[in-house]
Amino acid sequence: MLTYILRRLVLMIPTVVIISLVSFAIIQLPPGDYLTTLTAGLEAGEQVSQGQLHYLTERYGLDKPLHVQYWRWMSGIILRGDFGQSFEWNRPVKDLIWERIGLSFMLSLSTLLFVWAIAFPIGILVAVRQYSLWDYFWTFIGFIGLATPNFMLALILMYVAFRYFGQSVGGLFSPDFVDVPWSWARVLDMLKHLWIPIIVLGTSQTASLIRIMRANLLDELHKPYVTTARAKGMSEISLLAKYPVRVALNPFVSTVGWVLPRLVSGSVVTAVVLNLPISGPLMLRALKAQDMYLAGSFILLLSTLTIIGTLLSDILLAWLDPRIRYT
Amino acid sequence: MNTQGPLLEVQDLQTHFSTDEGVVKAVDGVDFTIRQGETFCLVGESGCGKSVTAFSILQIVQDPGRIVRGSIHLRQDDGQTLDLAAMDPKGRALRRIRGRDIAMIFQEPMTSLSPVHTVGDQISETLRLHAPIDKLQAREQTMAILTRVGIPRPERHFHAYPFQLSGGMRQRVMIAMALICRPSLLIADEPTTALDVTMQAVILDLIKELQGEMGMSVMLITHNLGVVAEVADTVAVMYLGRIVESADVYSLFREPKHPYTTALLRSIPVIGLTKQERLATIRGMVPHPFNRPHGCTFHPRCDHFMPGVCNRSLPPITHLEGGRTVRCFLYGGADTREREER
Ligand SMILES: Nc1ncnc2c1ncn2[C@@H]1O[C@H](COP(=O)(O)OP(=O)(O)OP(=O)(O)O)[C@@H](O)[C@H]1O
Ligand SMILES: [Mg+2]
Repeated sequence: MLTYILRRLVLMIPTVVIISLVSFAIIQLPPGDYLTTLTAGLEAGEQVSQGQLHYLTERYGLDKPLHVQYWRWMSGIILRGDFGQSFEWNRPVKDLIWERIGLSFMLSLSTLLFVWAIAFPIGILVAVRQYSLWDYFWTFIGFIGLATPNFMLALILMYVAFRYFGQSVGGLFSPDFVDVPWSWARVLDMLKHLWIPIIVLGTSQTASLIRIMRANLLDELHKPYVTTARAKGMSEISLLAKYPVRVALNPFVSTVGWVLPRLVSGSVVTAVVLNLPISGPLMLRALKAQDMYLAGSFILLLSTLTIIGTLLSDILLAWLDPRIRYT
Repeated sequence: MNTQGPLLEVQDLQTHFSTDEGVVKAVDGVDFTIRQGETFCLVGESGCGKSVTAFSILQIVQDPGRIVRGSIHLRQDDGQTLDLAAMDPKGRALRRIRGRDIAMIFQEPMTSLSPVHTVGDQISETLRLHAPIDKLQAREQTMAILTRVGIPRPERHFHAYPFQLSGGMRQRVMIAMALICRPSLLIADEPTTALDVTMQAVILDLIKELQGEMGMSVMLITHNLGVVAEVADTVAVMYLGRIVESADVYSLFREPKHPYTTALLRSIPVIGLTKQERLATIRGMVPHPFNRPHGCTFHPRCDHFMPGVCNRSLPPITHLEGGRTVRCFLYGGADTREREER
């Protein structure tokens, strides 16, 4: 198991290097850059100082060849945690992204827990009681959940929250708490707002995970090893939990891999509709504005997190399933 | 130990599957008895209901299979008998019988073991379900039985997963799992079908040996008459959900009574057969389960078909000398039936 993890970690290094190259290439691809725009603005008499322009050009080597620029960017990240400057916001990238990524992480994690807590018992129930009233009921609900667009669900829930609970809707915080430092009151306020995005983001995942769990478990329930367990004299409940559910658990674990990349990219539409201060909308804007270091950092983080997420779920899978561990 | 009466007595067992297309009478009136310490073989073509019969004994038939009629009397160590067919399939009483009094091994040693649990875990589980012992004792006894069934380095294989073992090893594990509680009856449903020929012989020998040691009875299900000749004490031949003939193994091979048995015996390959003497096959096809012939279900394929008799009513069980039974109008039953009809 340990060698398996080490091997996977070592394999990660070249992947990350390649990804960083690709993200850098991507942000360089479109013609023109923010600096050109800035220079044009300067000539048009806007309020940008010549000195600032010079400083940025110097610091990030913007007048140097590409490989130098790449090297300065990467060494900044690795040595100083400096992801570069957001030209649009006129602030260091790292000041912009960490809080948003933190909130994204928290939101994704709570959504995942919500999805698991609902999909796991219901998935088992509908598989064990196949073609029962329960099965049809949840199948129906599940398809509605899958078919409803997230922005629509978001609008409905915001309406409900506003109309019937008198809550301030949108965002993760009430107006009073938006720009204050973290405190228990702020956490509580956030929890009050959290349920809407969790339901919006989690519903379709829950629905699809119920379907996956049901299908997987139905496959397993009729396998000979279940009959073997029954022939040993095990009770239905304990044999169900020990054998088929255990084997059908793999897709659940795979969902861990979804969480991390979703932090950055996922749910842009929902986040815009709900006005969530998470990373998706900011990344979209950075890409549109050719804010190269901000966009590049997002792409880099997104890809790295995808790799880490996949690694985590692979490790969990290996831990769960000896057939993966030993091959 | 009480030796009065048979260990297991199955009477008029009927197990049906009601599906959307109709009722499949997989087992349609089966009677047999298994005595203490004997090897009872159930033979028949694929699909005739051998497995369903075996699964019915423990009431582990898959949905939508139900025992609709009949009794399965098991004699326990204290001499009392229990009717397994009348017990609740999910109840505690029947669960206590499973694995402890009657254990089972299956055809597919790969899929019959959980892929994600260790061999040791799965074997000791049976023991811990039925005996009040702790983990350490269970582990010791598991090692002992692993050694007994011929698995080398048991302390290492205890932690092995099924996919790390060969087919023969897996079947040994299945045997260890079945025998760890020293059951009085072992049901083996085609235990060697998935193995190569040498392994088949090894596994059968192992079962035979352990049977001698533990004094248990074995119900062996097979479609291989060679295996029957080698290990059986008594044999029952099954066709389309019914037992058409039962006898001790010598009488059956020397003097088969039912035309189906005769045909089956003729289809065994014999060394020295020339090209001209092709191996006999049973003519016709196994009828579809929803479309069983009226009367004796074998009559469309039978060489001794008597029109107006065999296709009219089901032949009754006829008892012959030596405790043999046969379900065929050639041995009686037809006359009485005709008299009744007149
Ligand atoms: N789940 C089920 N649903 C409907 N019919 C079934 C089901 N399981 C078995 N049957 C029917 O029961 C009959 C007997 O099946 P069984 O498995 O007992 O045959 P078998 O004699 O063990 O054959 P084999 O040698 O291939 O193992 C089959 O014809 C099949 O149609
Ligand atoms: Mg079978």
